[in-house]
Amino acid sequence: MDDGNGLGQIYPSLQKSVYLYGKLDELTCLIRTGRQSSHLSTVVMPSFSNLREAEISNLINYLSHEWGDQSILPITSIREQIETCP
Amino acid sequence: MNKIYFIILGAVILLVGLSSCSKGDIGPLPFIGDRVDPDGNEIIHKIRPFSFTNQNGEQVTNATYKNKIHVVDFFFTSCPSICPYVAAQMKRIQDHVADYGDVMLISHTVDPKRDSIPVLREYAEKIGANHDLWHFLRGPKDDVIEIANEDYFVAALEDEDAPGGFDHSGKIILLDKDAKIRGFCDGMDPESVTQFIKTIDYLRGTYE
Repeated sequence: MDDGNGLGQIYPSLQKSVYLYGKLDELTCLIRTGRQSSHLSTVVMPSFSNLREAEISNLINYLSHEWGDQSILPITSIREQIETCP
Repeated sequence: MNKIYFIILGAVILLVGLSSCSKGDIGPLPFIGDRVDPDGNEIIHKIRPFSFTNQNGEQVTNATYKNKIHVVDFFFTSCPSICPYVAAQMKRIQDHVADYGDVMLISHTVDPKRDSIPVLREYAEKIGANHDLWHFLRGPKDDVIEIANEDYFVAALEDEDAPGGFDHSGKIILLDKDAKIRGFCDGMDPESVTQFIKTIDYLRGTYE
């Protein structure tokens, strides 16, 4: 779990996650609002709406550095993304 | 002079204590929760009779788990904090006991409102649970919180300030075949769970 490999199909692996290779900006809203149940899944991903811009920035850049392509998402992008979150 | 003896004695006790810890020996297991009331009567502590529904939609009671050793935790599927860690350790325990036949796992949801039977079923499937071996139980919230606090001695309460709306302990509890508490560990600490797995094996050995 500490190595980012998740658990079964319930907690997705961070290793080689598509989000961490070119889709970093999509993580902002995913973290902020989580994912509600749908026809694909009844189990929800919890939201972390309490996190501030800087905290989300730190988190995403950590994920990118540790398991992704080390690209960086500037806080200005995160600020813009938050405006568009559902 | 006496002081020196005390220091030596202290050092010897400490060394003996440390060596028994480091070997990880497991001795006779306590009966956790047994106590004496003010009138001097011994009270035997065990989990009260219950009736909940599992992820297969089946009604289960304490009779379902008769003659089984149980490993128990409390969780909820939308938990943003400690649950994934504890779930990973429960999965590890399941894989260890898979072929035993006399050990079952129980995860009680503290959030029956969101954790319907289909949600529990999907969660169990995605986590890789064996549906016969590992039950995810749903019951009235107050009953679950009461059994957690009063019978299992693990804190569980609804708290809107807690992540996900519930505050609960990450403890994993070991019950013997009579539903008496014989051990527990910290589901957040893999080392603690390693020792706990040895304790499960020890408890099984006492029935042979």
